[in-house]
Amino acid sequence: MSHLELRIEQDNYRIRIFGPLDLHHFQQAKEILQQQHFADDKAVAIDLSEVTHFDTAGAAFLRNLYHATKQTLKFENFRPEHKALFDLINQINLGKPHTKKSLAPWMKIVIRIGKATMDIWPTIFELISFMGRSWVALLKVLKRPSSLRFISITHHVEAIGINAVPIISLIAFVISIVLAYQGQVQLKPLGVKQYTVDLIAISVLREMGVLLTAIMIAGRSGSAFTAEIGTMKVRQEVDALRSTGFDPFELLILPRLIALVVALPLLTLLADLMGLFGGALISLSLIDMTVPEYLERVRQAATWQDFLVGMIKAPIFAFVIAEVGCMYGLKVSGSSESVGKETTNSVVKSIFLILILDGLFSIYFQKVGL
Amino acid sequence: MTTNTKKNKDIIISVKNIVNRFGKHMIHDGVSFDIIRGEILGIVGGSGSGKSVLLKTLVGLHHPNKGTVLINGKHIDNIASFESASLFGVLFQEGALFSSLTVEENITFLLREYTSLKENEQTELARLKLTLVGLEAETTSKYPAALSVGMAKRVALARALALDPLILFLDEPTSGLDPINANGFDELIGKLNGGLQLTVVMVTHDLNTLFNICTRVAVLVDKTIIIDTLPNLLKRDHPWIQEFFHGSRGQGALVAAQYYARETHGN
Repeated sequence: MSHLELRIEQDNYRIRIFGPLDLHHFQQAKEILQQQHFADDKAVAIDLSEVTHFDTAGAAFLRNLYHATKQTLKFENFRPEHKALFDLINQINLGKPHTKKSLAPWMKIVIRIGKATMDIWPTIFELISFMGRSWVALLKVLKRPSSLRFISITHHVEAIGINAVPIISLIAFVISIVLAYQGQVQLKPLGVKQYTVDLIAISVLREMGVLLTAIMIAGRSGSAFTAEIGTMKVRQEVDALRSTGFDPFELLILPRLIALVVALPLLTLLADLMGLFGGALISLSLIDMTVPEYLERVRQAATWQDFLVGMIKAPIFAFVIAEVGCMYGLKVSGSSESVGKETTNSVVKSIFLILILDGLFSIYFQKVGL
Repeated sequence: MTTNTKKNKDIIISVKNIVNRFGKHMIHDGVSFDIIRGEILGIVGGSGSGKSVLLKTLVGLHHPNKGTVLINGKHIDNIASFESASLFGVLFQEGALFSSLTVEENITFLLREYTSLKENEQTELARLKLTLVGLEAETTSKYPAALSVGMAKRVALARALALDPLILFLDEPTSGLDPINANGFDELIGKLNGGLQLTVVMVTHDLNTLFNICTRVAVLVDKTIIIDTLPNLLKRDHPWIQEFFHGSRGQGALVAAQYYARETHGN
């Protein structure tokens, strides 16, 4: 990079440019030249003999000058290599700039809300038809059980289930400790501290265990499904499968779906146990219970029904997470940016659906008296 | 003495005794050569002969086990990041355009970072570069995912040229292009080499490109390099060189080059 100063001297109808006329002096050259004034439209000569460094920006500068000034311009003492570059740039015919009509900010907000609203129904239909296609693939496979990808399923069970054991245990344990601690703070003054155990047992078995596990797995494995399948889509692996007569539903989606439906209830069971364990720790230390007392209290407070209400939801949540994750994976198109966008979509939508379903289940179980 | 200094001034890249090995596998064993200012150098070699590793070493993306690379007299490790952008541009094989930016932003991004230009001037210069490499004005607002391979390569070339570098590195510039596009690309490189006084270093398999525009060719064989002008290389009796240039494809390219020379110099 040259440290020379750019200098422009004007002597009547003669301009001399000294120093570098390049990308880093483009702005400066423009500003200096704006201060030059010519009274009439006599031809102006531009002497370029002292230009040290010249690049495409310099050539663009001269080109603009050439086309924008009223006066006729004459370039003098052009060095041959500079002239070659100028000729190359000058012959370019820039098309009409492609300007987009920009809207008022409030209009943009209205349009975004409108688009998002219009998008709800197509997404729901898409999800339903995707689920339908998965069922068809499942039935096809069940007709020929030998075509079930058993190794693939076990691989996914390991990735989704076994590898998630530490984090699921930790979360269930910590959350139940927090819940029990807050519970006993509120219940102790009322003299019903033993109800802390009821609080833990019922909330963990019915809601917390399965919900925490499902949300965790949506973030951990649902996103992985989208990213894996999405990257395969970008790299045309999905097309390669299709072109060789394989059904991506059978090969990519079913193994993940089955593995998740197997793994999530098991993880929920683990979360339930860890939740009760966390509750026990608080009960033993803060409300002076013994282990047999705690167990007896749990047995009285929670029924098999509470446990079943939690467990029934697990495979259904698993189904939703797997379907949403895989669907957004297949929606990826073209770029790596799209992988990121669809992964975000997948996690947000599956957690949203889980919460909505959980609410509906609560109402339903209440009505049927479970 | 005077001839010596003059000679040194004409050398833009000096590669000295490069050794590259991965584990026990030796790729380059003492590769040394000079690249002369303003030339178009083609680098060829069989698969796995280390062409891409050599190119990465030249631009400082790969650190050699031994040896030095001097660009414009400066050690590659001592070149600051802002300096490297105006010293050399790289066209990666797949284009490597930033997929979250539009075509135009892919170029203005560099101008915004490294120059003091105003926004409308960045846009103006970006458009100029895009038109220079042969793109239509309406492509500027598109995203890379919407471009064909040929267009993406042209945009990548415009990005490599954004800061008017002295040297242009190309990794397989014509791979994935149809013959018409590939010829167009060769012509474009030739034109830029003449107009912008660019030094061009390219890894290529395309025999037509080698015959049409390369001033000299470097052949990577036996973990070292043989560098010479094409007519001289054709006379060498190294078996790999013989097979490469005198096979049916080589002969076809030779004939094609004669047509090419007639077409481009005729006009």
